[in-house]
Amino acid sequence: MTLTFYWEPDLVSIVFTALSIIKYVTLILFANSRKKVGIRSKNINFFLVMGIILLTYSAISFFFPGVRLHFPYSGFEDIIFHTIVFIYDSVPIIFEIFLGVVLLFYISKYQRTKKSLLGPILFLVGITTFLIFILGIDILWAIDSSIYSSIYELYLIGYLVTLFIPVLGFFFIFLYSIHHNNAFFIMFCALFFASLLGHFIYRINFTTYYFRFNW
Amino acid sequence: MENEDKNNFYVVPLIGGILCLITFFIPDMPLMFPGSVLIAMIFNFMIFASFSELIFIIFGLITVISEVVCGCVMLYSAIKMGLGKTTLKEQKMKLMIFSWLVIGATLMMSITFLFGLGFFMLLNRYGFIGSLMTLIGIYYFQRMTKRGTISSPVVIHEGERFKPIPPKEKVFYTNPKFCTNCGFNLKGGQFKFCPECGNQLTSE
Repeated sequence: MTLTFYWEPDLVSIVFTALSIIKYVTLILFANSRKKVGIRSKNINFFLVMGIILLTYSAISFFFPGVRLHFPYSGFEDIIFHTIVFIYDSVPIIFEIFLGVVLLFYISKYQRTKKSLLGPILFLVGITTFLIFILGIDILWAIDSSIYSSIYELYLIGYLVTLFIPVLGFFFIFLYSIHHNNAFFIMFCALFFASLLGHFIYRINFTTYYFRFNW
Repeated sequence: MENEDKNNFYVVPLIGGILCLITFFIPDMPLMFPGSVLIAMIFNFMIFASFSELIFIIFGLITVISEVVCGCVMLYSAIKMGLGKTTLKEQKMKLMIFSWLVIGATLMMSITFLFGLGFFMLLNRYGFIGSLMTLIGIYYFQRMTKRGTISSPVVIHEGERFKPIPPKEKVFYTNPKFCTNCGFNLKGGQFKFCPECGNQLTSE
């Protein structure tokens, strides 16, 4: 078997899944705390829809198998491997883009100034460039896997540069949530911001470790 | 803007405290050790026990224990604020002290790693982020209620009082002891004009 699937739950994945489930449960509670005006299609509670989708995805993704590719592989297995990697990378970022759009509409509805739109716009622009970057690198590696080692350093640096903008954007959304003064909204924004920034710092550590020892 | 009468700031230190406690369960040393920071430290001590590594173990233990203690304090004050026992004004100094303690401990650990291994690695980053969020939230809230950053109608929260602005006649530049023009000793009295030379001492 050159293409193997495995599922090894450990403490880290359990803690992260629990954190993301708490995060999206707070989003659903926030959506429920908002009063509905009517039951027309105009007044769909998009936060509730997004919360249910993200909660379902974060609960199911715990059971997704990991995939490994060993050296003597055929072209078909290579394509399957890269397709799976592509899907695993792209789906959560696409959900985050939808979340950014919903946040932009919500904040633009309740804004007092244009300053409060800075956060969601930065987040949307940043997460879109991040998605384009990640998918571009994935497609490059899927087309020609021999360039993996030659663009790996570019990948590490570009990852950090493109992830910085959505982190900054969500920082402003976090400040807006304090100003907005809803407990569940502050909780959700704080947890989301913490997970984004934690991911960012983890990548910084990863990159410095790489450039220090340079395998 | 909803719940204008109630202050929901208690959520920020609540999340900060939870993140400080979560550090205990997440390994923050990528590619190096499995398990949490404390388990990794003990594991490291069991395998490579030597005096040169002891300083890392001690610093790691200090960081982790201080994060757990400070996280518990932040959680406690957040719950008290949420129940309405105290206000942010009373808990602000405590929260700031314990957040700065956590940030200082994590940065100290990073600097010891810089000296020991040669690169800057921010361990236990979730406690760092939680305390950073608490501090930023406190500063933002302070500025927000003083109507500095966001141009919006002022929300007066629970337990918040504004000092009345003193009338204009009593406003002095300072409380001068000597006249600025002739050097006459005013002996602590508050004069509008200098009795010796008639120099104006007040703003208006």
